[in-house]
Amino acid sequence: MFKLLLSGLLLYVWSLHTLADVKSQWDVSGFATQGFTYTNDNNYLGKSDDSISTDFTEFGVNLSRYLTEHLRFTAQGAYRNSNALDDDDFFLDLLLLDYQFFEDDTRSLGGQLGRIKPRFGLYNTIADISAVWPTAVLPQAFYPSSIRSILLHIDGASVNGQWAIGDWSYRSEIHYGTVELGETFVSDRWYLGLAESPASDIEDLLQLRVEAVSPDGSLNIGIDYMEFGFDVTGRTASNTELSSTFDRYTVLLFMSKRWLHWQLDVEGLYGGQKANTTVTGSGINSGCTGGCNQGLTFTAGESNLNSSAFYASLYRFYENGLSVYVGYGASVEDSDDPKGEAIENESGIAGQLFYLRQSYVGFRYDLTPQWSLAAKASYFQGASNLARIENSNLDQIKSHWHALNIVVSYKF
Amino acid sequence: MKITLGLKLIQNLKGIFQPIVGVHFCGRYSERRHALVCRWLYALLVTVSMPGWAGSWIVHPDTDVSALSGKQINNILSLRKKNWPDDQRITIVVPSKDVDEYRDFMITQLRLFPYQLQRHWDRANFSGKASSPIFRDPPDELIKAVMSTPGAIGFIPDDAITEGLRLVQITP
Repeated sequence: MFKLLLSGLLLYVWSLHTLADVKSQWDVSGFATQGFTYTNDNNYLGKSDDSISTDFTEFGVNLSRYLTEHLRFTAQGAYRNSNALDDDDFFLDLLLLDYQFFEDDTRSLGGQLGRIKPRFGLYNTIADISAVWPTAVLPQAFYPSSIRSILLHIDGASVNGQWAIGDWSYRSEIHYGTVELGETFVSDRWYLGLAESPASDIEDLLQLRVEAVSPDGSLNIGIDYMEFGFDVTGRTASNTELSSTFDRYTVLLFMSKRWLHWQLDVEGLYGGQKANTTVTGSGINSGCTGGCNQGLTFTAGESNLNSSAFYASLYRFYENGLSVYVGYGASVEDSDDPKGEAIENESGIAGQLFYLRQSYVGFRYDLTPQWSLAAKASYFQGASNLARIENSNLDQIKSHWHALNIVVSYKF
Repeated sequence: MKITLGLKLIQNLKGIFQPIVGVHFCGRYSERRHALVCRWLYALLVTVSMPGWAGSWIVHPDTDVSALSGKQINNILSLRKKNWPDDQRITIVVPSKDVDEYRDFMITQLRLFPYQLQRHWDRANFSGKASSPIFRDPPDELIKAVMSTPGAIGFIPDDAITEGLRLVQITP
């Protein structure tokens, strides 16, 4: 379907003779972002340990056009280099048809088909940067780099609706499709001995969001649900015989209260992963040095529950786009083992890889309507947000570390 | 560019020091924390007592709309309402630069600063949810864009109103 849609788009653009034709018939916009990252220990977004990493570059071009009064076509190509795993290719980020079935003052129903954005946790309004995909400077308790690729896009369909009960309005969205579990995600399992290679994988993803909005629009309360599977049945790691299916679900509750200058965001995440796994052998993979997994992380039929919480407050300095925020987030991979001690005793993997507590302060300043600057300083306890591929020597990952992210964005 | 950045810096300082201005009114409090609370309350009061706005919404001459409720204009600007009752697609046209009247409307009606709405539009655009509005300066260019785009709605300062424009009343 995507090749067909893309071919149709290229044929159409080819039929337009000049750039002026394109600009007159299409809404054209784009963005470019460069990030700088420094950490005192551990590597985040490239080799940031004791030096400044520039391994965060994104740019994209968006083409959009209404085909009828209710049907809109959007395509977005993008380039992303955010850590060692990105292959630096320009890729198709969005390719979708958006249709509005009906709407009146209190109700609406629409849908999208194609390569679309899931909205899990997107976009909380505290810390994101408009032109940037998630997880660069967002609270790491919620958006660790290991699941970043899942949030970029899915190939499938979505339905969105809005309705009113009394003075409150309610919105809901359902997304279903296939997601490419990126190399960062899969390689984490590879390092744990749960996948035969760090190559990417394709799996199904379901995401549901319901949100209530107060009459004056200043209070949002909602729930997000996401579920995806990960089947590694029949795969064999270098020293491991493995048979496993892996299902992960996540429930996110969020609340945002906005005043003119102040804003308060609170989010709580509760998730579970259920693995039906049989592992024999040592499970140590060749690319992993030091305290790598001994193949016992997930035993047969084991479930473990993870949770996160995030609180942030933001202050907007008058009308010109300077906002400052402080926040705190915490997450644990297993609620019964908040410091990872049990899993460390069982597997030999350092316990700090299974929890994270993050305190941070940051600002965003829109220098002009096109240029924006954002920075965020964080202090971490734990390291579950790190991509193993960037920190392959698991023994050397520190549990107390800090980071500074600076991101410059331009959009047109 | 330098002048623009300079003006922005002054506006920032104004925002930062707004609570400090409250020192004059909060001098009676000798205890530090009481004075601090007083100053922030002062800043809040200054914010709450924002004036109205001296601007108007206009629509394309063929668009059969003469009044919109606050909720309707909110839905339009937040890109949730995409079509007029006659199914015609809504195209929003707004100033790209800091315009006092436009900013006052946003603060009074939506309780948002314009840049917050701009960020919302960016998110919607780059995640494929909706297309961005059209930005035009100065007001006569904005009026031209509205008049030449079926279904368009745009904001102009009151002193830019001329004969023949179709004004839209915003009701509570």
